[in-house]
Amino acid sequence: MKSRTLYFPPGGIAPGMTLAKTIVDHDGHALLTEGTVLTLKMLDRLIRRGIEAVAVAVIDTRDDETIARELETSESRVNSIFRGPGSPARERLRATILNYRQECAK
Amino acid sequence: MTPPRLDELPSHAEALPSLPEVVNHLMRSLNDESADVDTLAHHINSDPAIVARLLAAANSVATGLPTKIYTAKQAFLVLGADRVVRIILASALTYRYDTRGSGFDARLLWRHSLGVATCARVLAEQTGANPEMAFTGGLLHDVGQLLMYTACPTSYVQALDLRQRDDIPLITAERSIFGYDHTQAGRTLAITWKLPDEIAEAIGAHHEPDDLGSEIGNLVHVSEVLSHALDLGEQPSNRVPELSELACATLGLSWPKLTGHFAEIEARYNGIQVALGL
Repeated sequence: MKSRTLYFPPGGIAPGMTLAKTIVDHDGHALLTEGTVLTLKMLDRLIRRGIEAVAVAVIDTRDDETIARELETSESRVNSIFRGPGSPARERLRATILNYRQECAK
Repeated sequence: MTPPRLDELPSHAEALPSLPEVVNHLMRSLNDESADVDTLAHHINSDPAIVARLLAAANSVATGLPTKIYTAKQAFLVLGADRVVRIILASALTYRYDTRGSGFDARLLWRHSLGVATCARVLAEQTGANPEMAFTGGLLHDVGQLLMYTACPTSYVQALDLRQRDDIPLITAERSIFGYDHTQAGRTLAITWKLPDEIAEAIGAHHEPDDLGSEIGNLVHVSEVLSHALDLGEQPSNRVPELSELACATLGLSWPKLTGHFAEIEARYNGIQVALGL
């Protein structure tokens, strides 16, 4: 089954979800590795370690039409918020955000 | 009513509620490595309204925990001092300065400021700057808008309408009506309130950082632009402001490298926004 990666605060994650990205602390040490099935105890520890966002794998139930619609909506929003002329630095940021939104919507 | 001149603004600052004492203390402790949990908890406990907000936010952050957080000290132990300080600063400012009137809603300002603060903290972590100072600078960067609105509400709403009607940057609209903008007003307020120099720099430089050349000014400027670009707060009329090439270069920012942190910024922002009930 297809899955996608979403980020949540550890307080908003249910035990049983799978970690999609290794969690590293402020000193660069791995706390939990990708693929770990999260337990309540692990989530408790993450909150106490000051981890504010965790990437988990969730089942992607969207069909192709929904994905295409989401892509179109996010592209049009990026173009709207970056309306008007801008410096090359702003243009580079626009391209970065557009690329990020496309990756998120996929 | 004629808007006040910039040099008259400090006298209007008295119309704003004073900064909560605990906020003053926490800001002074940002550069103090020796600040300890007991002293911080003592200061927090002197303000019951802040304790109540801290506990509500702390329990929201720690939803999944089997035990509830009942005291400020416990919040420090469970969530860590840095995080508790961030929660207190944000909740104290948003409740003390909850100005609302026709055409102006401070909650929108705080939602945006929280977005900038979240970006500033992540950027500081990447560039080696002080993350807590960056967060606080981000949180307070638009405080000049509050002062301008309080000093002359009708003129400020006029500036907001002008921005909306002509789709121009807010600082342009403010300058055409007041003769100055919220970065200048905010810096004046920061000096009146005796905030740390770094915070005054962040406020003063967040739209046009090149003249000041301050590290935190550059950082909060880029965070301001990034927060708009990530649409944090999702205001319908959101428009990404101009981005300084020099500030990006000075900070050594690489967008492809930072992209990996965008989803984390969004999750952190959503987490603190929910915790504060904003």
